[in-house]
Amino acid sequence: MGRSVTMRTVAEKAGVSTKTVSNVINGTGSFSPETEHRVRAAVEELGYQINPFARGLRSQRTGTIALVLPNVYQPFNAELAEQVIRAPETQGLKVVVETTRGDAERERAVLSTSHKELVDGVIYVPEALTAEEYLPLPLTQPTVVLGERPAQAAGMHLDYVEIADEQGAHAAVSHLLAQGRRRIAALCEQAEPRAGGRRLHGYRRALDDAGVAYDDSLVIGVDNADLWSSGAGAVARLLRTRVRFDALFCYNDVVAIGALSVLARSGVSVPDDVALAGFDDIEAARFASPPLTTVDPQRESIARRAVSLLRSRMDTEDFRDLPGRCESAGFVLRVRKSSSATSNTLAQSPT
Amino acid sequence: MSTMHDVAQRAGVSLKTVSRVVNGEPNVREQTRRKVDAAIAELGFRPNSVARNLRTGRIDLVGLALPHLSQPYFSSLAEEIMREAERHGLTVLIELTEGDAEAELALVREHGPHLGGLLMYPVGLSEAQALTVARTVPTVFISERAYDAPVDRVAMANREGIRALVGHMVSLGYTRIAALGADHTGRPERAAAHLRLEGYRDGLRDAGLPYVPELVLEVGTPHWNRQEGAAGMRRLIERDIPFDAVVAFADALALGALHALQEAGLTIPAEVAVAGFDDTDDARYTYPSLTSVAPGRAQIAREALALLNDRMNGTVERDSGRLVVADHQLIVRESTLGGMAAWGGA
Repeated sequence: MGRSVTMRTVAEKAGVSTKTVSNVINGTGSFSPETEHRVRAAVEELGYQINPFARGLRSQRTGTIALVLPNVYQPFNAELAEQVIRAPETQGLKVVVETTRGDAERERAVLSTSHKELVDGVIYVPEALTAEEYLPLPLTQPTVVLGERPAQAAGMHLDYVEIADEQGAHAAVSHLLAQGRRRIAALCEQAEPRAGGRRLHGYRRALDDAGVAYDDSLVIGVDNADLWSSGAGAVARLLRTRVRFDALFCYNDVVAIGALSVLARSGVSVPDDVALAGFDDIEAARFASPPLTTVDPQRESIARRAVSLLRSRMDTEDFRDLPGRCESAGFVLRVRKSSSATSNTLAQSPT
Repeated sequence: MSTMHDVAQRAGVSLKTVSRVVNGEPNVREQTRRKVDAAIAELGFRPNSVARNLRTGRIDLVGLALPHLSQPYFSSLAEEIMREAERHGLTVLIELTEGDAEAELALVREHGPHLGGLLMYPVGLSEAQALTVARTVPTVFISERAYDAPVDRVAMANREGIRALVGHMVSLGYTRIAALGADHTGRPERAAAHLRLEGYRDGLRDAGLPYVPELVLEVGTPHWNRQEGAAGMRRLIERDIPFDAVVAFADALALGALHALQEAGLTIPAEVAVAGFDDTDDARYTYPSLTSVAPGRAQIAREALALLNDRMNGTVERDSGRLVVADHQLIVRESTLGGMAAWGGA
C-alpha cells in the first residue's frame, strides 16, 4: 500500500471528483449509495490508505485554529480572541475558542488529543499546567504558547509569544515612584504558572532601583484575578490592616477596577490619596472613573505574532521541521488620570 | 457517518480498544492495532477523540456560535452555557462568526459533522438558512430575531425589560428619558434594538409621556460597546436638549454613557440617571454601580441546553419549533437610586 496512491488516483479510478472521494471517506456532504460503492471499491482495489492519525502528516486541513483560554469572562481573554480573529494573518482561517476552566485534565487533553479533526493548530494560554507538566506531553499538532518560555523548552518544536510581565510591571511601578509615591501596595495573584510572580518581580526591582525598601505588609494576595470581586475584596482587606499606602499596583485591570470601586466608596480619593495602576489595558480601563493607568501588553501584536508563528508551522509538511521560536510583543505604559493629573504615554518598542 | 461502535464491530474488538488505538495509547497489540486501523479506513471513520461518549456513542462536543466576544453580554453568556453544558456531560467549542451569514453557514457545513449539537446566536441567517442549519445538525437558536421556520429558540424579554426600566425611571420622577441604542434601519439582524425601542415606547405610553425623537439615539453599529455609548452620549450632550435620564439598550452602552456624562461634569444620578440592559458583572463595579435589567442568563443557558439535549437524543419531532422566553428582573443600583441603593445589589 504505497504512498503514491492519492485521493486523486482513487477519484480517477472511481470516475468521480476528489471532493466526492473526500466526502465518502469522511462521511461529509451527500452522495448516492452507488457512488459510495464505486469509491469504496476503488479505495480497496488501489489499497488507498487513510490514516488520519499519522503524526505530523498535514494532509487533511480543516482551515481552523483553536485558541485555548482558561475562560472568556476575563475581558483580556475576550479581547485577545477578538484580536486573533481580526489579525490579517488569520485571513482565510476560522477560529474556535476552547476554555479549560483551570482544569489540568482539560489542558492536557487539548494539548495532546485536541479535536484534531477540527483544527490545524493551537494557540495555548497555560493556566493549570506548569511548563514541567505540559512540556513532556506528546505534541500532536502545531502549537504556540502565550506566556514565558521556560529554559527547558529550548530545542522543542513549539513557539512562544511572551508578554512583558516583568518589564511592564517595572515601568508601571517606576511611574508611580516618579509621582513621588513611596508606600506602593501591590494586589497580586501569585499562583504558578500565571504571571503574578513575574509582575511582582518587576514591582520589587522598581522599588530597588529607586532605593525604596520592600515591605511585606504592602503585598496582598488575590485569589482569582479574573473576577471583579477579587480586587474589591483584596483592597478591603488592605484597608482593614490600617497599613498606610499612597499608591496601588494591581496584577491586572480587573483587580484594579474592583479595587477602585471600594476606594471610591471608602472616601479615598484617586489619585490624590492613592495613585492606581493596573495591567492589560482592557476597554473598561479607558472608561473607568477616573480612567485607569495601565500597562498595555500590545494585544494586537501578541495575536498577530501568535497566528503568524502558527501558520508557518502549519504550512510545513511535518510541523516538527521548524525549530522552536520565541517572540516578545513589548508593552506601552498608558498613563491616565488614576495616577497622574496629566496623562501621557510611555512606549517601549517590541524586542 | 460511521461511529466508533461501527469500527469496534467491524474490527471485532471492544470500544475501549478502538479508543486506545485512536488516542495512540500504548498496550495495544500490533495485530489489533492493524485490524482497527483497517476498519477505520474502510468505514471512513473520523474520530472525535475527546468528545465521543464511549457509553452512548453520542458526540459530546457542542458548538456555540457567537458573533464575537468583545461585548460582555456574549462572554458571560458563553460562561453560563459552558457551566450548564458540563452538567449535561457536553464539551463546548466557541465558534466566532462576526455575525456574517456566510461564516455562520460555513461553520455548520464544515464543523457540523463533528458536532453533536449547535447553539447559535444567529445574526446574518435568513429564515431559510436557519432551517437549513437546524436540519444539518441538532440546533437551538439563542436569538432575539424571531424565525417563523420550525426551529427551537430561546429569547430574552427585550421589550418587557426596557419597559420596566422606563417605568422605574418614571417612578423616580424622571420625565426627559433618552434612549441609547436605537436602530432605524429595520434590518432583521438588529431585532434586539427594535424590540427594546418598542419597550421604550411602551414605557413612555404607560406614563403618558411623549415620544421625543431627538432623545432617541441611534448608536452601536455593529457592536454595542462602551465607545459607541460614550460617542452617542456626547452627541446628546452637545445637542443641548434637556434630558434627565438615559435608558441604554445594553450595559456596555450605559457604561460608555456614564463615562461621557462624568467627563462632562454631570453628577449621576442627581443630574442624570443612567441604566442599562444585560446585568453583566462589570456593571456592578463601576462608580456609581449600574442599574440594569438581568435578562435571565442562567435560565437562558439552562433552557437552551435542555432543548438541545432533546434534539440530540431525537426525542422531539424534526419539524417542530419551540420558543422559550427567559424571565427578566430589574436590578436597581446607584446609577438611578444614588446612595440609597445597596452597592452591588443582588
